[in-house]
Amino acid sequence: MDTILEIKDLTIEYVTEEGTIHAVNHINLSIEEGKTVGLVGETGSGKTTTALGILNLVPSPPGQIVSGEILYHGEDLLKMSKGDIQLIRGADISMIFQDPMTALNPVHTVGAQIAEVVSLHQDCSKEEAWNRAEEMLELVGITRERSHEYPHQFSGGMKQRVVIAMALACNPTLLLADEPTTALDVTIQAQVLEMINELKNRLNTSMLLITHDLGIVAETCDNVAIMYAGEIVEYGTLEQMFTRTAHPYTLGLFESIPRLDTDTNRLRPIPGLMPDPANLPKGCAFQPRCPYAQEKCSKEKPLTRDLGEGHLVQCHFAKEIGIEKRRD
Amino acid sequence: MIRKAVSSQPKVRKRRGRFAETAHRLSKNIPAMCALCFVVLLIMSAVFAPYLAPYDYAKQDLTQKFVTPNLAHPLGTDNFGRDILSRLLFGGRISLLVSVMAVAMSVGGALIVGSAVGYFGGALDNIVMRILDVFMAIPGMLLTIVFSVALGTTLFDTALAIALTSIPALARQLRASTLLIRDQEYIEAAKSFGSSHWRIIWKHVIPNTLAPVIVQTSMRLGEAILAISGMSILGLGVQPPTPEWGNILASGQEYIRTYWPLITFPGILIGLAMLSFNLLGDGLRDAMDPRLKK
Repeated sequence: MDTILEIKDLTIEYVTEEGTIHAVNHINLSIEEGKTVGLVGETGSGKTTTALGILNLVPSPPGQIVSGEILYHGEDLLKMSKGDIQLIRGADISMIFQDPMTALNPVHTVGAQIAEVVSLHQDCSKEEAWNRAEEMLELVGITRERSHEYPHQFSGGMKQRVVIAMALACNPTLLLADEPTTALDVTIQAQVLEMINELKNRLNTSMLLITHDLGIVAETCDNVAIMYAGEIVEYGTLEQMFTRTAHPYTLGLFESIPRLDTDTNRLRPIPGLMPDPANLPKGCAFQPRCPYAQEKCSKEKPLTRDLGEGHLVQCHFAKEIGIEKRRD
Repeated sequence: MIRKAVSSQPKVRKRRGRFAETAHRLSKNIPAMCALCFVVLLIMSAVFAPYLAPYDYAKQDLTQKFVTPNLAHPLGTDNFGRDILSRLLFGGRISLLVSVMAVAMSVGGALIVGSAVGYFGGALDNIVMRILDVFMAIPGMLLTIVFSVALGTTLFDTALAIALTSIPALARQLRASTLLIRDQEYIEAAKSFGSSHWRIIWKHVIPNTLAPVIVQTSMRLGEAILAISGMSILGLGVQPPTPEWGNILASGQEYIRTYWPLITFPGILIGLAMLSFNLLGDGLRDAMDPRLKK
């Protein structure tokens, strides 16, 4: 299996007058061909910044990529010239945005918007681009005739389908899906997810799925990365993550969703809030909220450890906690 | 399975595009429609002036000067015995032509400056906007006079002088709209699909600012007519004997106490033209604002 994207030691900061916000801190992540990696975390944990970083689209100023490499087929995207990366955006790596209501330009027809992406990257005539746009619409389950309609004439779920059609129009090898279903209601969520999955498999596209919904992760992902305060605190396969949860934060996430198989009266949410990314605590970032925290946690930053079979965790006491989890 | 789910959705949908929608809403606005009719009438009368005018606009007949309106001369004659109606019809050609040129240049210039500056922001934005601020600090009429003196009095020069004066305010407004659009997600999406900056400005920013631009165009046309007339009255605009509403009005100045038609008819015409362009602009703004949708 080929690795198509490899993020090494990526650090992204937003420099503002009030201080430097450490949005993404030294993360490592790789995506293999045809696989889906879930990037899970709370609001403000740096998920979207990571995705924008991959496309080198972090708004600058104030954002800046401080260190790290993003290797796409071995080539560093961060060192590429503007022109080269423009050729990659949309054609090789494309992105699905969170809110389909605002991700489409209200003054162009949906067909024209898809055709634009096609003609940007493929050497073809206007008719060919338009044909391709209509094909893409059919692929996402919208009839050809609607290609001449404007975004406001579509419902939210249909708009997200259009956005997906746009993202897939040039057969990208990597799809960055930034909470593609968050803005949709639950019934549509399932449809859209199923469709993304089906198309992804058919086109053999890899995907980085950004979400905060562990249910979606369980349904679609091969590997999962849990992000907290700009760091990947746990990484592993879906199975490792769900059955051998090692990091206390991941544990907390599981405990704050209701389970079908046990009768729970009260959920156990994680106490406290995410630390201010401009002022991260010393040592482990999760330590102030961690029920298992010990003295060592506030002094020393935990290093990423491999618990075996590529299950990575960033915690001093991961082994002990993991055992405890399995006991109950 | 997916396709099935979608095709079962109801097929009720509106087929009306944005343009048709706007036109439909505009047609329900009675003052704006009256204004539109008047504007069309003005344009038609300017285009067909040679066929409509009862006399040659330059033909002098000193035995017939200061004739009050009668059947032969519906709007009377001027101080040289020229037919006022004919002069107003031909004058409309010049007034409208110059104001259209002026507005085209000012809207074009403001679109380029405003959207580029708003989109790129930063130091460029600061420098250009401060320069425009300086121009905005000078009273408009004075600035037009200065430009006009510097440029000359041909039709194009007059139009250019008026355009240059109105660019700063319009550019500022377009910059403001661009600032709003710049941060929209579809701009980010366009970037993520590999569009270059200029392409984004051309395909995504400008089309989205067009609604205020169209409204402004209509309103500015009215203002331009007034400005041209003003320049003519000062002797800086269109030079006699070429008829233009402003200089017809200006020629009546001397006789304001003794002979009323020479100042009244061009005055009414300028006033009505301005009013119609403004009403039309207002109507367009209401029609294009989807929040006013009933």
